[in-house]
Amino acid sequence: MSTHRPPPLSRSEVWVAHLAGEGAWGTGEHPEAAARLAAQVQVAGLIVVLSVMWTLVPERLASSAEPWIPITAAVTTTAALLGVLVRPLLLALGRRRPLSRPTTAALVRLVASTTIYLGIVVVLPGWRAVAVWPLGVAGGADAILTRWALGLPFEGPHWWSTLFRSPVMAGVAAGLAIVVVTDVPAQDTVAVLMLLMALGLALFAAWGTMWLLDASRRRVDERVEDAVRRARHEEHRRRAHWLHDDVCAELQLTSLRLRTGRLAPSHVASELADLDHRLRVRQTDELIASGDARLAELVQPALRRLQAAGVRLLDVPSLDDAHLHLQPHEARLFTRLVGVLVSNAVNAGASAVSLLLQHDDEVIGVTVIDDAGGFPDVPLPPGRGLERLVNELGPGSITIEPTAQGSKVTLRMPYGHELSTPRDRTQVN
Amino acid sequence: MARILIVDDAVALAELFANELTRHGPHQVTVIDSVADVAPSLANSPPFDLALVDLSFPAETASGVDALATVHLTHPRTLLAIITQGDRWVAEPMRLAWDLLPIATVVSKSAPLDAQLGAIANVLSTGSAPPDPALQPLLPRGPSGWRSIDEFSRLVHHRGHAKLWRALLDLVGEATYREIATETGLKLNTIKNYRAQLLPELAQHGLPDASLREMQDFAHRSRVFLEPHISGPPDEPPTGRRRQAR
Repeated sequence: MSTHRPPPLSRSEVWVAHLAGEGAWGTGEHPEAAARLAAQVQVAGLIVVLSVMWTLVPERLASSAEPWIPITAAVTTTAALLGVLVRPLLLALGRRRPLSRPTTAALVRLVASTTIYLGIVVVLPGWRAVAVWPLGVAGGADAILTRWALGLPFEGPHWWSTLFRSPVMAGVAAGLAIVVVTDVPAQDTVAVLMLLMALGLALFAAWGTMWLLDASRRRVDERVEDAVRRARHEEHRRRAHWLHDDVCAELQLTSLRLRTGRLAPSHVASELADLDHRLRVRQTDELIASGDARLAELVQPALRRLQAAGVRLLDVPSLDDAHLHLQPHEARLFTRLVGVLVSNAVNAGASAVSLLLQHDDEVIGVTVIDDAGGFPDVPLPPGRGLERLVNELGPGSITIEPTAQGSKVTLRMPYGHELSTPRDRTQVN
Repeated sequence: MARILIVDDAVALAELFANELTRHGPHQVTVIDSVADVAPSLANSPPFDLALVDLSFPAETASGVDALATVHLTHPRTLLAIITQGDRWVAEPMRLAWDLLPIATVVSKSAPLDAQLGAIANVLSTGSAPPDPALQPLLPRGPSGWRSIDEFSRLVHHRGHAKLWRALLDLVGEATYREIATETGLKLNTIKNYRAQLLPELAQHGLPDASLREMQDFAHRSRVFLEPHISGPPDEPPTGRRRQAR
């Protein structure tokens, strides 16, 4: 890697990036909780500004010699406010938003901001402008969202002091000085002072909002990190427990059986293959418990079991058939289905098996075709795994067809359904 | 007699398997326990007939896909095979290797020894063998028709894209626009434009509307295929239509 370090971002670039807003820099992914909160604050701020403005419009109209000017300004400002409200509203609702180009976004938002500012000056002259400080809250929420999207840290008091030493504030001060030294009527001077106070209040509200939202995000992040730390710790303990209880204890049992003559040395390989299968079933249980299991992974232990039993696998599903992700209750039922069908084939003495999957939006089917000489018991013998499964799933859930050398058994289970009652949930968990 | 290279960090298992291969071949088998040692090994020996590569190397940043690609790019005639447990965490790299490299077969470490040796014998005699049935559910029926190593050149049109990918590969932790700008000296707007230019190509790799984080994950996963293009792209962005008809 080169030792040359490029210069950091220029201040003007950061200002332009802020003008473009979160819509230009966000990931477009589903927003995290802190971003949603900031967007909710922004939406609330904009709605309050709209309400305040329209509450004061009648009074302004009554006192105006040319009422069309304030009403036009109010309507234009409302349109601009509603325009800038759309994106934070989608973000607040947790919806995926399309991303905009930075230059376009910056231009559109510049026009909207100028329209809102001028509209408020016209509609709410003098002391009334102070009432729109929630616009600062909305602006602060917007600015912090942009900084988070860009990866810029919030500088707190430094940002506040920088703002007051910025060219914007220098321009405001110069304008005020001109008003004071020139022959401007007192009421106009007061109006300008009020406008300046409104601007200061809005900026202070913006800074306070940014500070609060950033602090709240850091606090949430700390809590999440703490929860992750605890979960990792717990996971390590669980793994150690699992190794001790399952792996070490099983190996110890095999070793003891071998030393005490209960296990013949010639059977050690099959004993270990059986242990491997049991551990893989446990591994599948863990995968299901993680809440994200694919058919591809769920079917693997059954295929390995058939291999270990010396059964030739003629046809198996590919990822094209086995890409579905199942809910934990579906995954548990599916592993039972496959387990029962595979056990039946192995116990019947099959030497070659095909295991196939079919699915649509509502049903998953598992078919096992074997060469074990046909299915002797139709109706199914009571008390066996297959009979219990068919009783649970319904009589239409099974199809048994004889083949030239054996049988073709298909079991179907529902897919894509939420559990209906708490009792159902208890049963499958 | 065939010359076989085994790349696997489970040395005891690999050496035991190498002994079986030697006994059944007889073959000349070399075992390497690290992806980093693959390139030096290939440089110091004549081409192997078959490279049998594990996918998971938790002690290294590289994966078995890097080892397979290194073998393929150094000696394209060497047959490539994957040997793996086939657990969930290797499913994605296995799919990547399957799509991008001429994988002759996939052998399961859990399969009976006879099945493993049979698959390797098939590959050496006919050039390929079906993947192990227990691993087939993790793979599509055939390699993807539209993904190829050459397609990665479309992800680096010019030096600016190369800088972006380099930063995504080098940054520790999640990359942000600010960090990439600081790392590369590119303007924020430029980075944004580069990302927008690459989105259609990334969609071809199964990443529609990829975020910076998704691009970073993709870069790490596909490092071995991206890096040759990052080191030597054209100086200037081409003018006019960038994407050519396929």
